[in-house]
Amino acid sequence: MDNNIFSFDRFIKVLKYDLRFRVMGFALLFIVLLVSVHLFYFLIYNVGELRIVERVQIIQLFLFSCSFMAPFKIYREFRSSRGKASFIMLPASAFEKFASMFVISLILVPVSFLLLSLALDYFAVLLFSNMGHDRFFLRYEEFISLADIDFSLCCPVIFTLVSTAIFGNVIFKKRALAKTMLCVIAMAYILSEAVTLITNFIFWNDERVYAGTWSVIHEYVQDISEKVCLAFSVLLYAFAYWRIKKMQIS
Amino acid sequence: MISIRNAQFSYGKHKVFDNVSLRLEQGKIYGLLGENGVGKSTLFKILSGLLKLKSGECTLFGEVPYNRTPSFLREIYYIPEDFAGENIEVGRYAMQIGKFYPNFSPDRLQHILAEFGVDPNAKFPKLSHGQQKKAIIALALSLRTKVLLMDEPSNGLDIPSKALLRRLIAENASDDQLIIISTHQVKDLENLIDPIIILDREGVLLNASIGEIAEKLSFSVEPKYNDRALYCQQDLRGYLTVKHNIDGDETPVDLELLFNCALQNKALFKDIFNNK
Repeated sequence: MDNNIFSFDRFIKVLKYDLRFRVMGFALLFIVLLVSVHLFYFLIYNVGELRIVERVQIIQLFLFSCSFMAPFKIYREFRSSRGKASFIMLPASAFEKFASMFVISLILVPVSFLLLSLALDYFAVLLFSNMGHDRFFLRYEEFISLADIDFSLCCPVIFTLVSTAIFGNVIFKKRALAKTMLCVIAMAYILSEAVTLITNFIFWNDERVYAGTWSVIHEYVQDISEKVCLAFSVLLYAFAYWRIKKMQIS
Repeated sequence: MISIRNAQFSYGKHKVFDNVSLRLEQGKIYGLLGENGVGKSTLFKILSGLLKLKSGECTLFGEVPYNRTPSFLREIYYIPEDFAGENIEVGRYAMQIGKFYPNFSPDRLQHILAEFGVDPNAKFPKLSHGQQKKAIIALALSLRTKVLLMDEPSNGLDIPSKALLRRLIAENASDDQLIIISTHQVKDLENLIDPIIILDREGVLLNASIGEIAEKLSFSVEPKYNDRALYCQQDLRGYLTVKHNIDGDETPVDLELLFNCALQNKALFKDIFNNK
């Protein structure tokens, strides 16, 4: 008897289907973002030389934007009854469809953006350095490698951003991207207040505060923030999955 | 094969089905008739798992549609009335979708597309509404699912295509397949659909085969208005009349007349066809 919850073969079929027919809707924006990174470098370069840290930050900014926008574009059919019907009626389980969405949004899009962005930069530097512009874009000798990008920061941020994007795309019918961004801002404010309250409560009358040992508190806040964000993201993924499983067409 | 018992469904406060029961069997092409808004499309959405009943039971080959298990989904295909394809080539889309259905036949797809005159390399948005409809019907027939639901398949088709549609459905429906076709254009699908289901706001008015209908009712054209008939409708030929078939001679069933008659004699129809 068939496993109606997860079959690897079916999952691969759904993944291939999504990559062939759904990801195409995001291709144009993906290319625009990819080119924008380099355009941005080019414009900034004329203003003043960029330090390697700033370059990494620019790549990260575009990487985060791309990861956040991807689910809205790739799975835009959730916002129409017709699209929802074709999604629901695809012969695969809700878990397989969700897993495909998860893999594409959380792994394939960010990784391919990062790799293509670095590859494009590599070729641009090779091309222009031969013409004498050895300080163009990311300089060849200071070419950013994957090791230069702080994954300990990148991964949790992308995990949270994608969870909110998938959630917003499933929940909101119209202006899903804008409404989700507003929700993210509101939730960030609420969560930061919650973290402040928790920290105040824990460090109330703690002598390390009076002794000026702020690094202890800073590390604690960072640690608790990451945990709160992680728990919050897992909740959003779970809710989005439940919503997909129970989705109905009016 | 399809069993609906005491089904209740509503959109908010608007009640669509109240205590509806229905049983449909394999190997038949059912015609689903009903006025606008009686819930024909809603019934299709419930059968395909897109909507959940508020109460009652609905099973298709033993499975509850709303559970949407892959083993259920690969045995049913639903063509909505307002189908519009994405920006994808017809053939490429069909081949990709076909991988999910165990009985999909690419050869059959090519054959039906060729019969309909649809270019498999054309993208959906480049095709007219009628051509898109033909493409999705070709895909649906080549998937050979156990259940096929078609909502107004002849809408948007030109006159020669309607005859072609009838032939292709008849040729490609397998012996164990259950097809339900919802239509307002009964003339388009006459001689194809049998049995007939007439849905009404009060439930199922009729669920009977053409043979059973002909056995119980007679259809004729009479020169004068017959006040003892179940239904009379005047046209250029005279009075189109529906009567109880008392003498046992079977006459061809006029579906349009049958439908109008059923709407005018709801209680009687339920009584005649034991559909209470």
